[in-house]
Amino acid sequence: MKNAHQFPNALSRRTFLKRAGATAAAVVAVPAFIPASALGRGGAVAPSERIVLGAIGIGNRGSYVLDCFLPEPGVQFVAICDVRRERRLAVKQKADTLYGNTDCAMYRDLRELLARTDIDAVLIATGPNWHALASILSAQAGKDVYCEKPCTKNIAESLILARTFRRTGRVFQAGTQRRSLPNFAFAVELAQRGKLGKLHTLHAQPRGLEAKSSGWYPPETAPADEQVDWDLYLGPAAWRPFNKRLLNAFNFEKGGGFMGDFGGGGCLEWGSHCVDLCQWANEADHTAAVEYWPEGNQLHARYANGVKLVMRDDGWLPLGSCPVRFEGEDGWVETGDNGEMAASPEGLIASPRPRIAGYPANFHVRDFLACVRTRGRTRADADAACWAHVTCHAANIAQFLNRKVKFDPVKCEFIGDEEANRLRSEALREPWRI
Amino acid sequence: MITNCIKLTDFGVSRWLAAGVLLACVLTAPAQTTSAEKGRQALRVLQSESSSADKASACKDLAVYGTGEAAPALGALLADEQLAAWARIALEAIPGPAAEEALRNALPKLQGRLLVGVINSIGVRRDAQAVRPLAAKLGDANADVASAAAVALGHIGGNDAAQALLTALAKSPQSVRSALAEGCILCAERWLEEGQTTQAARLYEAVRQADVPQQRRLEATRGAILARQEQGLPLLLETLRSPNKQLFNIGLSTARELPGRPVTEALAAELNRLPAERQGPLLLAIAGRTDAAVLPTLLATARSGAKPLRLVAMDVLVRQGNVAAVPVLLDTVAESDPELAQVAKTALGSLPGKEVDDQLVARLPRATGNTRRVLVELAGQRRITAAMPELIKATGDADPAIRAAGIKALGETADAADLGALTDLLARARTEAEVSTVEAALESACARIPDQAATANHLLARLSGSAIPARCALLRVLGTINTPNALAAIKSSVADPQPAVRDTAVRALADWPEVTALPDLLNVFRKTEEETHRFLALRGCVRLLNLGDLPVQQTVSTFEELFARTQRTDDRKMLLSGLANVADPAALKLVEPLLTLPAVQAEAELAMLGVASAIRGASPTDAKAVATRLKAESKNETIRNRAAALLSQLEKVEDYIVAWQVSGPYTQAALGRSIFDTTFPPEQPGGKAAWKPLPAGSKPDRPWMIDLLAALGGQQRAGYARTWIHSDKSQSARIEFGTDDGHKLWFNGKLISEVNRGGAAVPGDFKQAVELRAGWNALLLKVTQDTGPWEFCMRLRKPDGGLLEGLRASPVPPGS
Repeated sequence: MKNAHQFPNALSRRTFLKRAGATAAAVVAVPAFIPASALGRGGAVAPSERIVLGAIGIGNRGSYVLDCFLPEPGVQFVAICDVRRERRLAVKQKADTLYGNTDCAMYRDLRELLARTDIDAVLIATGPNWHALASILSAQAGKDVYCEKPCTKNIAESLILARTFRRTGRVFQAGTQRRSLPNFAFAVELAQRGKLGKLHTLHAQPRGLEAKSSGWYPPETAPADEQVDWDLYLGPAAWRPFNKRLLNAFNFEKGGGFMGDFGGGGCLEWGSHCVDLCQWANEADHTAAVEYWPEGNQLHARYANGVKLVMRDDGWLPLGSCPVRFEGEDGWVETGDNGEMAASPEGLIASPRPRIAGYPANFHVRDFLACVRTRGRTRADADAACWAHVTCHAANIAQFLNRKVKFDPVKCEFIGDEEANRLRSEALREPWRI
Repeated sequence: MITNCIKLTDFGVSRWLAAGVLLACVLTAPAQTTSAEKGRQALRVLQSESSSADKASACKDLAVYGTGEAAPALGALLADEQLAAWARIALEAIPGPAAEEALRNALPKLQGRLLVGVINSIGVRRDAQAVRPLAAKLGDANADVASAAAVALGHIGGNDAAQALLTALAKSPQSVRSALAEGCILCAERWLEEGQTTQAARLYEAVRQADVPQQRRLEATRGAILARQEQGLPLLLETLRSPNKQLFNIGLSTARELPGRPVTEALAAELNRLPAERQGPLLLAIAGRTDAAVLPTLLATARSGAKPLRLVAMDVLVRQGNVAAVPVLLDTVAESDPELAQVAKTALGSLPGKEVDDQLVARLPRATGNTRRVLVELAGQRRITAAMPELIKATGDADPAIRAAGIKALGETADAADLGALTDLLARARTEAEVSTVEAALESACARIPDQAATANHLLARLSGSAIPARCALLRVLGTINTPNALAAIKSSVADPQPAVRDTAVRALADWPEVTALPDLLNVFRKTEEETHRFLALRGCVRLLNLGDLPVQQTVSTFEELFARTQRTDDRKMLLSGLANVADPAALKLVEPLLTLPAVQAEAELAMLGVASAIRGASPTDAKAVATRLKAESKNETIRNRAAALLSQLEKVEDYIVAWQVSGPYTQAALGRSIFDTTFPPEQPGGKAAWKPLPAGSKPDRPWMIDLLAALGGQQRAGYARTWIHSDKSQSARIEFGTDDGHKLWFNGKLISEVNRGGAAVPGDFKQAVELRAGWNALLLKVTQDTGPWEFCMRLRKPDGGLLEGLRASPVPPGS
């Protein structure tokens, strides 16, 4: 098989790294504490600095993230696209109430929203089935993108996502908001700056390692397209009859579906967060682990630099959800969503820093908006997101095959393993392509 | 493996659901099933009369295990609207020419969307033999088909494909040109990756000059710059100077990509030529590069660039954690521009590393004036112990601002061994302001030092020999240290002959954080002759009683004594406000006599309502009686309305159980076990657990939803709720309940339900048949908490779901 357009060869990858200077450590993104005036903005936001925003697929999570966007200075929200009428109406009502008008436009088909030349950026919070495709279409239409996670359904989508955003010059922010929270960033900093000694093990909680598929359920009477456009809802997923279990199923919403129909599934649900943080700590935003194997009820992986990645769901300190732990020869640090940290030696975390619990997204949204204005690199840009997702997908493949697999991140292929290689991509339903 | 363990059904549900337990299948499947056999099994399904669902699933298997042998059968599905995409999943993945041939063969047979799908798959496979038929499709009347062909040709790449695309680009309608440009860019991109830069540059240039959408031209411009390599710099600069904002933007992202030190140097030179609003973003782009010219550019800009650029440069240097920035930051701190100085100070505060501390300490002795003050503040903020001698020196500086900064910094930096420096300063303080400054520093140090007992001992040793203002300050600081000897010292100072010391001690006692101070405060209230102290003691008692740390009976009896000892209206109002939070029917009896006193009647009614609301779960009958009475009798409209609202909530409870006790939270999972699986005391036989009343839900529309988050708080933990249900006779029943998140449910000591999952508590989500025995039946529910809401609801119904009457609930063990 030579579908190499999805799997950049060694030269292209190395060339890009050289050109982009994509070092993982402390990537320069946007200013942290300088006044806005330093970047040509001061006080009120000039019309030319206004960011006109649209949203695609806004349910519960999307509504929360949209609420983080709306109060930000200079953001003008103008359009909602959702295949479900009730969701379109709910978002329109929210926007119209906020602005005191009836201007928020509603679309069922994202191509109509993307055709609008006045929209600068989009928030994508569909099910994971659509994340990569909608992001790529948005970039190709000249929009900057904030996309919820998991961002891709397989390895090929991850690579094409990164490549598309490089090619188009658009700004991408994966909805991995923990990259913008002080406790996680500080833990990463300890790892990157050698405060833990030579790093040897990273721990991530993927939350549920079992592979699930969204599947094919008995047909039910489909609602009218105006209510739920089933064809658009399926989008790139292969056809199956309407069944409301698929419409509201946890798997669909949360990224289950390892088989690739609807989402990343397996360790993608939280792996896209905490494996991503491990990659960041290991300065591996530009690569993926090279070996993966199931180990009891855990998944293990190893990077080329020898660092081991342990994906496990239990045995964590009570530091809140989505924890990570980084271990080096001189110490360790662990942190989670309650904003607190534990470390050994304890002095590693002695210096004061803000404690932010509950994994809010507003800091991450602000990082995105600042980069839209400065064309900077976001904290969770398409490259970092790509490789974190590749690591998760490769781990899922090891679990699916229930054996060790070896991966070459330069060639983006499993070594001597045709079955694993065949699981790297999946055809999109017509007419969609990436 | 999948096909070995999945039973096919009419519509394939079990086959699909089995994927949900894939791992289990993998672990148990017979090992002898080879990949080839799995592929053959899937092909047999495809060739059978199986359902579409099963054929779809077979396509998935073929994608992993199939061979070219399956290609014809898969090709036959390409015209099937339901299964075409499933077939292409396999055809894109199966290696070898057969799959490519199947796709190519479908080209002349299909139209519209199905044809687009096949063309897309040919593109994914990069089938060079398809270039000619795809080139023919570039002129298809259907723009979607022509566009798909253009992009597929782009993926395939090579001279023939590129030539076909360029030819079409010149003559195709607008609707296809974007895809043609995309195809050209894809071809060029591949050439660029393969090092064929001349061909790539030519193709990019053709797109740049074509009438295509702006986004495609931007992409071609980026490509043209990169393909020209070092010769791309002029075009990059031209792009950055363009009045077109989108071109400037693509220039910025490309500026990060084009390699080479000369490029960085040219970009740095360009900084000052660009309009001011473009300089900051360009500097950020330069900072994103990695050659050796970047750091000198940033340092030079931070030191002597235009002010906005200096700010950006300092920020970037700090974000990179670059200690090379420290000298320029230390110099900038001393500058007169307050904005620059403040940013430099903030940067120095956040830049990590001992090298930063060392440079700051080295600079401190020779710093003077405002700079010295800022450096002292930074030394405190960074807690640089090596700066301690300079900080102590600063506490005696002639400049009051430096002196104050020194004292504060000393408080931020001092450890247990340095406390003497602070208490010495306190002893030497002459003015009220000095005492206050040192006291704040001392409090800051004491809050941070882990050994609270040693800290208290140090302060206590200084207590007796100190002057009155210093003694008072020490007592106030001791009030923030929660140790028994600190409390004892404060308690003994309540009887001090010095009025100021006595006053300070009473205030510290009244603010003591734990209920351990209650007996001493009660004594003050009983014995003092000073009106202020009596009032402070009463206020402190009410606060401590409301902490909820005492058994409820003791709380009520203490309130009873306090009521008995005062006739004052203000005192009674304060006591009533505290009593309103007590969740015990006995509290109602204390309020009752005050209902007839006009001066406190409103407060008494509010207290009644408060107690009624707090006990509405455990004692709904008492709560209902209070609400009914107040709704009918109160002269205050607000109280009548609130009573009516409480009644409404009680009615909405329906037959849900709202009388519960709660135990928890439990946060420490056993080694190697989850919180869900860890056996905490409430579920251990004979386990000792502390139980307290669990308030009914507070949401007006769902008072039956019991809010554990409000009662216990937090994430990643478990809580337990218990109650007893009385049935007049033995009878069958059904427990209907919902929990957020996972649960275990015991009925009369037997575990009858356990589900470990996340998600919302939905009434009736779980249904469990039980046999009620005559008399009391025990219910124990464990609910785990991940993040977000933490709640549950439960009721008992007849086995058919009908209303089950005659039951009553008791949150306390029957007979207790």
